[in-house]
Amino acid sequence: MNKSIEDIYKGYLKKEFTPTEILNQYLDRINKVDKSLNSFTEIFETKVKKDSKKLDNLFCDEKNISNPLFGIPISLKDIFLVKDSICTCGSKMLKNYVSNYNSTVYEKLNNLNVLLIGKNNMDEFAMGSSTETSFFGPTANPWDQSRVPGGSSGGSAAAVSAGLSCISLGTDTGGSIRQPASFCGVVGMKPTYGRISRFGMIAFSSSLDQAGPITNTVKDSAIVLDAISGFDSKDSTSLNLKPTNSYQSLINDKFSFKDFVFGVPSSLLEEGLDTEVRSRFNELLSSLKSLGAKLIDIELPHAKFSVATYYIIAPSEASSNLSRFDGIRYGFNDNGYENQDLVETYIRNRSLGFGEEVKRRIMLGTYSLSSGYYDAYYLKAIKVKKLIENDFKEVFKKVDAVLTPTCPELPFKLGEKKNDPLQMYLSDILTIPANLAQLPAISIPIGLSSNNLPIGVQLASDKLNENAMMKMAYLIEQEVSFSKTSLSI
Amino acid sequence: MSKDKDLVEKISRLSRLKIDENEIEGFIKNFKDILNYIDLLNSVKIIEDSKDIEIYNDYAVRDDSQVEKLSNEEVLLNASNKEGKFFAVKKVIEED
Repeated sequence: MNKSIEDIYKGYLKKEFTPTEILNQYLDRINKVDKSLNSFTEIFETKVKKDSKKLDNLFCDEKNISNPLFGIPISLKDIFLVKDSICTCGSKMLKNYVSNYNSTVYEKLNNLNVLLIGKNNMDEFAMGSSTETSFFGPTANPWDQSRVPGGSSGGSAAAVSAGLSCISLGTDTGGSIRQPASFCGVVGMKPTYGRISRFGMIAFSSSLDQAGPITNTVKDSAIVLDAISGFDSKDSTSLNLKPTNSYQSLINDKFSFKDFVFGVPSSLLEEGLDTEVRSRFNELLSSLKSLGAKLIDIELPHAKFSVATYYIIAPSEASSNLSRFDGIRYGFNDNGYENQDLVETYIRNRSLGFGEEVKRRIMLGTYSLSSGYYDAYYLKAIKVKKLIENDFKEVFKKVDAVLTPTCPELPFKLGEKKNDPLQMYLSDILTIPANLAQLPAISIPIGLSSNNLPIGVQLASDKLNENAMMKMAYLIEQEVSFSKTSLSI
Repeated sequence: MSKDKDLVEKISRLSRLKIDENEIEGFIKNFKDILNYIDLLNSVKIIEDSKDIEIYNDYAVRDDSQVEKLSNEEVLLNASNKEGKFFAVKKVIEED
């Protein structure tokens, strides 16, 4: 199992199997293992089987298979709208919500004839780092089912890791693609803010949210990025740029470690790193050096304020974005409206429809934006965000990428941090800076701990520098040759 | 504690939310932990001018032309209470 896009594409070209045969392999595997993982909120079995039959006919003629995503079984985090199907966003609030239009990213993939198997479980409204806040129950980590897969795109990462879909799309506001990718031993990539349209992607924190691929390989990540990026007039923060060409540059350009300078923010990594994460990371640094990469020590003086900054900006924007859920136009409604005051109706629908973490973040945001606190919290956070951005600007004059572990720790036990939100928030300390500075960043698996849990490394590059970042990620991937043979599910 | 409780009640009302009586104590504790942590920002020196503050770099604007919209039926698809072409809520205009 765990075929890459390239494996399937080559197989199609050689007529080794048909789209329906490939799809059935994935569906069989889902039937076998997803009861214990809970990585999907919905499987579109009937619909996707019909779609694959159509592709079986097209497939006979080689010229129809002109793109590598043809007939690739994919899944989407349940935050992306797909017309005429339910989009829950992991919440009771939207458990019956039927989308009446497509997200731009799905539209783009659908035009390339992918096979959409289903929607992946996630933390409610993407608020969480463990997929435990989902109304539909937690997802388990395929490497150790007593542990979390990370979050908020935990269902996506678990599904790709366990071979239940070839690729998935996640969203990343403070690490929600990279952290679960690291916890599940797969590749997770967050592009530059504005690279990918947010249209039809349910908003959490609009100035930080960005979609991106979760895949088995760096090449797959490049293929998906190229397919979903590019300007979209339906998203006013979408950058006026053509789609990326990172896959072509990866396979056509000549490059080696000698072409790149890596920056390591040692002082940021002094405290709080798990010993096994630290030693695996240090081993990687040594081998990069021996392969000719230039490594330099860098300073990001304001990065230590990222979590505090993030937990003002993200909840503030969330409190505004989630005010649309009143249960009247859509969303959970406790029914009956005749006898209730309108404000009481809002309060009742929202209190019953949202889970605890979502309520906490809405209230944190309302607090930071409320009269008397706005200057001290929101305005201050925006200023610190700028300082963090400037730190990176300085650093990228000297280096091509900033290298850190993706997460300071190994995947933790289900329930371990559920009642301590601050500890949960702090697990994103190494991923949040890229969101605040709007940078592209990617997590690649680099090894396993002594108890067989994946460890990931993160590369963050300068804005719009995805092509170079993919090359560096590819070199690291080839060097470590991470193996899934000990994944027992 | 009662001051904290008043604050949580005020913020929850502004947020159009209600925190259950039996959850309020745990909620206050977590909320305070987070706010204490966020106070870390007080130690950051800001030299920059506040004019520098912008969340988005550029906004894209589309042509001011007619675009395809959802139909009335589509818009009402997910409403739990509707009357004809409208969302139904209790009358909000008070009569004298």
